[in-house]
Amino acid sequence: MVAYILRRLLGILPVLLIGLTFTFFIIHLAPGDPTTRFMDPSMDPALKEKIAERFGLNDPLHFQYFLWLKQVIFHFDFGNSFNSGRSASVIVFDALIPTILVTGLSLLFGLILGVLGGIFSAINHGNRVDKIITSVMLFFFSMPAFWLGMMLLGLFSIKLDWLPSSQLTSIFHDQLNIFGRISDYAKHLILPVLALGLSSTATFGRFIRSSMIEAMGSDYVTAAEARGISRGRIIIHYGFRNALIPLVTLIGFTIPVLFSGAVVIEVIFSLPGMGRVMVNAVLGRDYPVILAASTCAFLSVLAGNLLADIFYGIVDPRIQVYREVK
Amino acid sequence: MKNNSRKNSEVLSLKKSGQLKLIYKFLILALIILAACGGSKKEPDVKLGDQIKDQVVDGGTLVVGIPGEPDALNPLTALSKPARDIISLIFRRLADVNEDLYSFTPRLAKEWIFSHDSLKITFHLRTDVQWHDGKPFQAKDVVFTHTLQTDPDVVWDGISYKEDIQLVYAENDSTVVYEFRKKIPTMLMDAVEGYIIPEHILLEISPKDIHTSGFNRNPIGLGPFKFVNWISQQSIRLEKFNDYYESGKPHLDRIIFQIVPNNITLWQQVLSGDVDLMENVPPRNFIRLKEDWDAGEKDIRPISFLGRQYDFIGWNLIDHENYSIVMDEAGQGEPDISRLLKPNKLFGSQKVRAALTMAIDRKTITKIVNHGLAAQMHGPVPLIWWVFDESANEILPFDPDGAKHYLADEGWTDSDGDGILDKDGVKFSFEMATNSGNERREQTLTLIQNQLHQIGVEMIPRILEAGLLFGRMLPSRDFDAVLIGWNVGLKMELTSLFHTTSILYPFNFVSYSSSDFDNWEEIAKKSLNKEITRDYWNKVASRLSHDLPYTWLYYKMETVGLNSRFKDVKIDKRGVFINVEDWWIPTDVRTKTDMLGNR
Repeated sequence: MVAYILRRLLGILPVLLIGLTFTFFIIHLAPGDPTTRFMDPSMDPALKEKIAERFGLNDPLHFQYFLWLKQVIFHFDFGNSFNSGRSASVIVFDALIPTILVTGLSLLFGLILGVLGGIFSAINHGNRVDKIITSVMLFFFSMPAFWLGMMLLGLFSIKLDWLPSSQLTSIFHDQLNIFGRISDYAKHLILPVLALGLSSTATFGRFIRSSMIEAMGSDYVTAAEARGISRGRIIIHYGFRNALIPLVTLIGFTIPVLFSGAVVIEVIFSLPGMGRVMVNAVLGRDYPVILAASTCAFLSVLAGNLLADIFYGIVDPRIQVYREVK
Repeated sequence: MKNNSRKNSEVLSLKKSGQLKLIYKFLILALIILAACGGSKKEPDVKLGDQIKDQVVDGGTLVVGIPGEPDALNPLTALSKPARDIISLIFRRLADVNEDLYSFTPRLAKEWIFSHDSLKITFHLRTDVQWHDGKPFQAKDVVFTHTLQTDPDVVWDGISYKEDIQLVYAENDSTVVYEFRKKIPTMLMDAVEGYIIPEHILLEISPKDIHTSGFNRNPIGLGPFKFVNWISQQSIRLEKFNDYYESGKPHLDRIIFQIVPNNITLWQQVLSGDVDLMENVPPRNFIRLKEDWDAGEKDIRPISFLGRQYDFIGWNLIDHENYSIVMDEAGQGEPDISRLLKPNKLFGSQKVRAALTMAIDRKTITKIVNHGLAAQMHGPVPLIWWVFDESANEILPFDPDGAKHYLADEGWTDSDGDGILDKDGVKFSFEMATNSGNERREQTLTLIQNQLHQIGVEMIPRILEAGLLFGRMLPSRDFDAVLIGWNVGLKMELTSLFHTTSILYPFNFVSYSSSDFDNWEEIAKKSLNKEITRDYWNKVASRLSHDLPYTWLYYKMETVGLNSRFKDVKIDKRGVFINVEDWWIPTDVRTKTDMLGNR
């Protein structure tokens, strides 16, 4: 298993390199000039050259690329932001924590609610309860997270004024005790996590439902029922366990989707995070930050796939056996 | 309180009438009688912001909502508006310009004296000023600031203010001398432009590294508020500086800048009282707020004032294909300017530009797209400059029929009956571009398209990403017409926008060239005589409003919403944060936020 993980990790590197190389050239060839924002009608136009020189933009593109690659590979240094002068890695790292928090909590929320809903729907297959759950899931499945976010914001923050509409903490956060701080975080995270998590709840729920129905109709479940095994045990050990295998793959694919969804949700709820960093960097042609943020996005996709593969091996012993035999 | 203020203003207006003495006698008599009778005590009638000084109490918090993260809190490197606003509270200049944008109020300088030949200004500095880390402010800080401001490696955006300054030196710890190369009317403005930075902190940092220095996120200044912390993408906190040189100030304990990029959310926070101050209130919200305020239903003051931004249509005066050919031929060398100026097929004629201007109902557009919160603009001189004189502009009326005649005179007729004018087989059809994300301009573009269609001109709107428009199309002159805006500087000059010497540079993207303009603007900028300066700016305005390289549209009003619990607030065209050290909050209207840090 360890060898397998190592092999997969090594396999990630060329994919990452190709992705970043494409990103580097695309953003450098895209129209727009990072020096434009520094120019003012009252400024001497010669200063534009000076700014370009400071950012290393006067060098040939291939030279800029190799220099950048060298810094990234040997020092994990993406350079300094053109906008603020801060290290791009630090900017992205600062923003990554809230994004991971929102993504992680949304995944957890979506998974728990989705799995419970899916199981409940599957065991009531065909009756009214199933139809209601399926309709609700279909509703959330077809709602884009950003739209849901705006609706929740409008209702719970603006109309009812129950929950805060923006930021990760209140201005009183520093004065609160530990429980107060947790509650403060929770209040600020409820709406964004709901907006992002409800879409994935529907994805997971519908998936679990169909897998469970398939599993519950299989011969081994009929055999188990014939042997007199309790209904609960059949649902958990025979139905759910078998439905879990393809779910693991789905979770792996959902991580990057949630990550990109979080980017939009952050903008709606004015949360700190990768979303705002990326939008501002792209609009301002802040190349170092765009590249550092893209690396994170690539890594989230690759990590999602890798985790899915690893867990797939853990939950389905047949895969390991097959590898060992091979 | 508002009703009281109205009563008070009525009393004040009565005072101005001719029967003052008689009324005074009656009033005094009435007051004596009331006092003698032990009449009920009445609250003094006071207008918001004009409280009697001895009522001023310290304490409280101002929460400001800002739309984006500041780039840096270093006066030498910051460019974004939120950064500049925060910097104005942490740092100080030698002197600040007054509301007339002509005279100055001393700040770090106690006074200044011009030499007999008017080529030197000697500043006598305050000796009671401390940096936020306790070190004394001295003349060497001023000299050091000037050195960095003019260092080409720093690329300070205000460097043009310093180009006529030859030398800056300290005569002693509290005296600094600015020597100029020549006499110019803006000597004082040039000298005092820019915030003073601490030499003892930044001396060790190379000018090349100033953009990446830790000072950018941890500044030490000498203004009324000192920097406390900056939580990325969330908030920036400032606290009262107890050793601020103006004794007894500031009155507020702290200022928190909350970063809220979503405008709807930010406005909601202002309404709920979570945020005290918001700039750029959307016009619709502002109008509703004003109605509510006038009806006494809201405790958020709507404040509007002439801002620093105007929108216009820029016509490409030259043939952009010819421009590319001439520039390619020149390679790295200097191109022949006269060859560049081959007129544009559509907009090369002044009469055509006049016709297009007459076909556009600028008054209605100004009103509709700005919801009445803008002034119409007819010429190049911004409304806030002291030389502004509306009568100097040649104002063309909205006259679609006249526009058709003008175009017919120029040979543009609808020869094929398709509803679009043509001449020599060329249709009068062109693209007008604007940057995406600006609802006001996009709406303006649609209105203009419709109005031009009425006179047989086909205008195709193009909404482009700002990077493409400003970074590629305008610098390479690859456009027909463009609808954009400029921010107005306080220094009166239009060189980079219209002077012949700027024709190769990005800002004169319309490629305007006029020897009259070049000469008159030079004289207007250099004259030390106020009347001559005004006369020549009028000539410039008259010429440009006749030549119409731009069709000026509207000059925006700024809209601010401020919680009414703040008193002694002064907000005008210089900005919102010009006297925050004077702001205070009466104890009876304090909120939970005002008690922050009092536990």
